[in-house]
Amino acid sequence: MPDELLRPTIGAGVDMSARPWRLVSQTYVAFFGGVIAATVIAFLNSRRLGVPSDRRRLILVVGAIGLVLAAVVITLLADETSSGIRVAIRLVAVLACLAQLRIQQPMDRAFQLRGSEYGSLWGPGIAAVIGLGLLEALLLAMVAAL
Amino acid sequence: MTEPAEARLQLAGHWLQIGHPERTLDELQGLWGDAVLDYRAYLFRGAALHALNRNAEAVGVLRDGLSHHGPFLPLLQVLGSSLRAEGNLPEAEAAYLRGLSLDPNDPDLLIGYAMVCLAAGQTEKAAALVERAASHAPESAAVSAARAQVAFAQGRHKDMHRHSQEALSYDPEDPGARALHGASSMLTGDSKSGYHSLASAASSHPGDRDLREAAREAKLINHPLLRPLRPLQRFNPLVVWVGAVAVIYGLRLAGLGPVAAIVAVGWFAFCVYSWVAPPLVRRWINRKWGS
Repeated sequence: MPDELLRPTIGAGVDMSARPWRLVSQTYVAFFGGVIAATVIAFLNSRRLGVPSDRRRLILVVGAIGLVLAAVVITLLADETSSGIRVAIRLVAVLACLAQLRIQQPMDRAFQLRGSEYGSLWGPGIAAVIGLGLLEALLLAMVAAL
Repeated sequence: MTEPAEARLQLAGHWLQIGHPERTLDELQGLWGDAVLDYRAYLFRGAALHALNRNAEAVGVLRDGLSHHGPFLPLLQVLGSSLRAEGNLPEAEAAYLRGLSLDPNDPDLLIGYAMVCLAAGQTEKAAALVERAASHAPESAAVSAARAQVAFAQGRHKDMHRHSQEALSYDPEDPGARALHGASSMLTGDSKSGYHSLASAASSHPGDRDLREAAREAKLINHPLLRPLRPLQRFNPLVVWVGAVAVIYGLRLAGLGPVAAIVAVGWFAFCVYSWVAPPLVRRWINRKWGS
């Protein structure tokens, strides 16, 4: 009887030269940049980590849900103070990010066990916070104005 | 083989066993005649190069050895491990499977293959391979250490800690088990014993930069000035932030506006402290340890 456990299962799918970003670093992008920035960084990172494509799509779905929630929050809290709205929207981004980190975690652990070096998120992170953070603020302002 | 050559080979093996791979290479350098082609010369040279992280050279030596001596399990074991360390997972898998086709129950090969599966993110298969190894070998430090790594990959930190303690109880001096125990202690919030284990593992492996770095980070976390920042180390900073927001807004909703304001100011001060204190303490520790 062939031994299932001793059948080759490792393809060339894992790109060993890619240098993913630390999961904790991504939390700062979510905190300062919002849902879109966090989702783009998480999606790019999941490709670097070799996360299966269905799980990567899930990261996008979580991001889309987060964005819709942020839009709902800004509509519901139209009468609140601006600082209250900012905290509520940040809360949505942070919760979405935590879900996205959980999706990346298994392959991040595999990466850590390979003992390779992480890449630096400073450049891409700041670009995402500024560029995509502004885009999100603009989109949400448009929703609030409707 | 001449007697001096045999003695030299045995000495090379001894240096390897007690963790001096560079001396193994020196010893093998002086071999001559038939002894150069002895399977142990290939095995010890390959294992020493692997231990020194010169994996591409190790792979070359071990493949030479295999072409001279045929599929010899210890050569395949070190070849698989070197290929994994080099990042060539498909060929590492092929090396282990070649060995396992000769002996499907060899615990070392099963654990080695499990480590390749872990590196590829296949944790369930890795766990099954480790359990098969455990069923064929009496409980050992290697099996417990492998279980600890599977638990780490699956995010089960308490189990990781338990298995790393088991590994240490089988072999209290094993630097690999100490490193795992240190890492799992840090993850479960016991940074004091985490530091002790990581520091002792780092001192047995002075060439390992990652271990040295981990020990230094653990030392940093244990510093009295950084004790207030433990929650940020133990949990994701975002989770701590969500907690703080919940408390502040909870107090405000409960009509305790002034208390909420005091908590908010305290939280802000905590955030500033968490940004300023670690770089200062790190600089101070680095100056003491040398970079």
